Amino acid sequence: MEENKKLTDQELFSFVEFDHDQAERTGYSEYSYWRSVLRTFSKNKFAMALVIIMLCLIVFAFFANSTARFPIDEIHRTDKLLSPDATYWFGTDTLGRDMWARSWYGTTISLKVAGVVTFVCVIVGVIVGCIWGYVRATDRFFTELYNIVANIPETIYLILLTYIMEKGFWTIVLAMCLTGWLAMARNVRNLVFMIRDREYNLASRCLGTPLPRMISKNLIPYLVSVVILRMALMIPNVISQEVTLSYLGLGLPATTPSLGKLLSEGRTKFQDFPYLLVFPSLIVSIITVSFYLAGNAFSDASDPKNHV
Amino acid sequence: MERQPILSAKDIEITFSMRGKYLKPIRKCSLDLYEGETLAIVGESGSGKSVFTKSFIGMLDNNGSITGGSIMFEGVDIAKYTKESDWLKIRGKKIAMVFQDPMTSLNPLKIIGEQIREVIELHQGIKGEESKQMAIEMLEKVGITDAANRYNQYPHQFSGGMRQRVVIAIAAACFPKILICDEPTTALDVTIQAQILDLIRNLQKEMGMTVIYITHDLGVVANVADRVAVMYAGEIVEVGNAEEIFYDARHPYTWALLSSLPQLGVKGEPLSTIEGTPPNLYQEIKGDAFAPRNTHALRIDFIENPPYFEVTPTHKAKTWLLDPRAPKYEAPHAIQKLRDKMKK
Amino acid sequence: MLKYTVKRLLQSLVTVLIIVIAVFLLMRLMPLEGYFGDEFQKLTPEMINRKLDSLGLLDPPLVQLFNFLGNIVRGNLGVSTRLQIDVPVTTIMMQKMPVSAAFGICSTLLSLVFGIAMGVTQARNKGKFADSLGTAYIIFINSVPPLVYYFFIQVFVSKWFNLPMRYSLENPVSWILPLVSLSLGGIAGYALWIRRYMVDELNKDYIKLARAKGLPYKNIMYKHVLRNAFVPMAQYLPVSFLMTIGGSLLVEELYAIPGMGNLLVQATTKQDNNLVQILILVYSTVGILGVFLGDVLMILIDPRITLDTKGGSR
Repeated sequence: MEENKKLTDQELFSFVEFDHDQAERTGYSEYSYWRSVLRTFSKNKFAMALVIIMLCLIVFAFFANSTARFPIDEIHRTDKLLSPDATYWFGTDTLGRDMWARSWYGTTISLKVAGVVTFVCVIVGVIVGCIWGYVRATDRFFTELYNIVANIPETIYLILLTYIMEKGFWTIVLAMCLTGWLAMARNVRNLVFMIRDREYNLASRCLGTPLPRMISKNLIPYLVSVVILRMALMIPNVISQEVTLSYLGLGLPATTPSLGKLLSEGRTKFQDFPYLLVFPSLIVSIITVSFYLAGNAFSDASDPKNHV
Repeated sequence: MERQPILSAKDIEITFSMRGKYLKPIRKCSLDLYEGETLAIVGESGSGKSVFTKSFIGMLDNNGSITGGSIMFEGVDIAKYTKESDWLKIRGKKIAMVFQDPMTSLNPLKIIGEQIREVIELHQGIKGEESKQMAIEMLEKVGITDAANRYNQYPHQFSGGMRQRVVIAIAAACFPKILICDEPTTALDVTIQAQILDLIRNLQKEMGMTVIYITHDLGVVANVADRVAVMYAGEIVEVGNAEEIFYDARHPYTWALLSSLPQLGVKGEPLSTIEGTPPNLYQEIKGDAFAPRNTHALRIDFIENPPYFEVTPTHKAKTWLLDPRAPKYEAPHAIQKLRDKMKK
Repeated sequence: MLKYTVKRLLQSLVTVLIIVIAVFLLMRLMPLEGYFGDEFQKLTPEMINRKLDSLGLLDPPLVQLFNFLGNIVRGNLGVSTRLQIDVPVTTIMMQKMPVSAAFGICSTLLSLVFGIAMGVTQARNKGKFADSLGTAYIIFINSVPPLVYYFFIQVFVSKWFNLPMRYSLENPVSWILPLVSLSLGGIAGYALWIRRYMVDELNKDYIKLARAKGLPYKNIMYKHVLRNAFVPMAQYLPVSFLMTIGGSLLVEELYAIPGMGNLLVQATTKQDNNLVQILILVYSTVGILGVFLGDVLMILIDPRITLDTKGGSR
């Protein structure tokens, strides 16, 4: 090595003064949890692509809905059951209504329902779940409550609410919220149970940390990734539920063409007029699959073990 | 007298890929293992002791691989093994390993007798009642009383020390040539520690095993080791007989390790420590890895990594201080004290 | 153990009671018009009152409740008042339950077998094509509304394989499509669970030791990991099997299977109070019983669980 040649042996083999700062120059690796999450998530090209597709689809749904040429319930008596063509891009149904407008309107309705229900259930579910899991004294109460509410079918709520409130958007939303928060709360409760007695929580308790702070600083950060996953999975679930309920004629008023309604309308004529079913199904499927995939990809990305 | 080593690792390099970057926990490590001896590998956390020995049985994590060097065992370079089937010929049968934490080492839902027996059935081909008997004998050998009944119990019905005995029974059940014990007593209390060390020693004598201890506890080393290898930052910096290392340590890191033994402390005076922290293995290390923390560092330590210098045929150290060109130095006070203390 | 059983049973009884009472009272909030159908407009107030009285709806709610509970205790489960007038509720249920249960149990078994097989295959081939294929299936089933794929199965698969689109008792071939439809969700569920469990367990210390022992991968997968997987799963099996008596709303409707599926919904919409109440009674009893059995099963199977470690709900 040339450097050595410049120094004599005597110089090379002389003692060097001990440098305290040098000694402390440690091995470290820059690790920011959320940055790693994002990095791992974006590595999953497939999921990213789907997320983008889904976002485009959603934006498009609202756009298409407001720019649709024909109103959703306008009957074109002479144009019944037309296959997709230049005027009616998705064709028409048995009453001659434009499927394009109806499909996109239905999509926006389903999305809105799913959005509101998920949002409410997550907030309520997380708060209740935290208290349920953390404050031992409430466990009996909430468990009983859970058992009871879970066993009362949603249909009863739906019908009662319809009676009180008339069929409509908020009716179905409320009914689904009443039953939906339970699953989230129980999930959160199970999680909290698991981490409740971990050492870091024991330490906090010993230090006298008050409950709200325990929840916000100790529990919630741990829960965030799981909750977001469940949220992403909940949206397809709610849409499915809404589809089923609408199919059965419950929930939204008969005139509202939600996706479920469209599916039930299209079902009878399906064999001869497949497009009646295909478009709504396709739209629903793409949205739900994307949410599900994105949710799973996010969950994988937020697991620190995968940050390798 | 030249003994042939039963396992000879030469210039082993191991690389891990982490989050897109590469790190080398083992940089050119060489080690010879002689039959029947007890070798202790000493070093601090993160020095690479476990990784090094895991490479002997092909149990590196998925993101790690041997990127250089050779491991000669029974005439074959096992560092070149890539297939699981190759490693299966060695694991448990020729080289066995005991891990640190007995609480999680056993399958919680299987009776411990079965966990020993499956090793016997697998490697020795003995089935049925005979293998069960052998398993019970093994349990007795490791000091578990009422072995026939305890055969049917689950791990959670055993204490930590007993579980470690079971793990040792599993490892020794097939009379392996080499037993690697990765900090086997760290998770146990001191009284149990002594029992476990005795147990391993007795088994070793009885079965003619060669044992490698991985530990950071010099007390354990003093208790059991014939030879000692000191590791730092993925390299073996000093290796020799136990006496040579304790009485005549030559590498500054070994000095620092020995000096920091609490037993050498003087009441009222601060305990001796090693300042600083181990180096960042993501980066290429220039020169001697220990140089920044070395109070006896030479300028050349920062420039070039020292080669091995022989002190005796059995004792060598990787330090420029042993180079004939190096200036005279005095071993630290604590080391001299240690020599005196140990002579007593 | 006996004490535990008795304690749990009593707790369950109380829960069921509360549920039944809750439903009972909720039904009493339903609109009066609902009891009459379309002719409501034409009826005079006396006719309305007479009908309501015959249904026992004019008494104060608490009195109605006591009557109802009293009847049940005496074994009188009452009759249907709207769906099949004056037919005993038990008769209605006995007509429909066997079909639903048969389909339910068969499809649950199918789900278990195929789901576990799929999950194991996925875990063994993690990252490879088989795994991705399985995951694609799970994604599809879990996100797409069941209605959509039930439709497509009924219309397309029946065409491809020339299978009937309607169920009939005499023709076993017609059982295939409904069974398949019912199993799909379960397969996805079990496969996902098994795969995740196996992948998680493979990272654990005792598996590391098993590897160091020299056990081949296959051995570890089946004799250690898969075997252990059944233990936490056992908890949910009783409920899965028992709750099949409720039938499947969608599948039964699509294939015209005379099962329990839409009974509750119909009864609720038509306000056949008695039927609703008894159905809820049965379902919640069975559900809670299932949970209890699941817990007992866990105590029996998992050597680490003793009676004092059990507690709370899952």
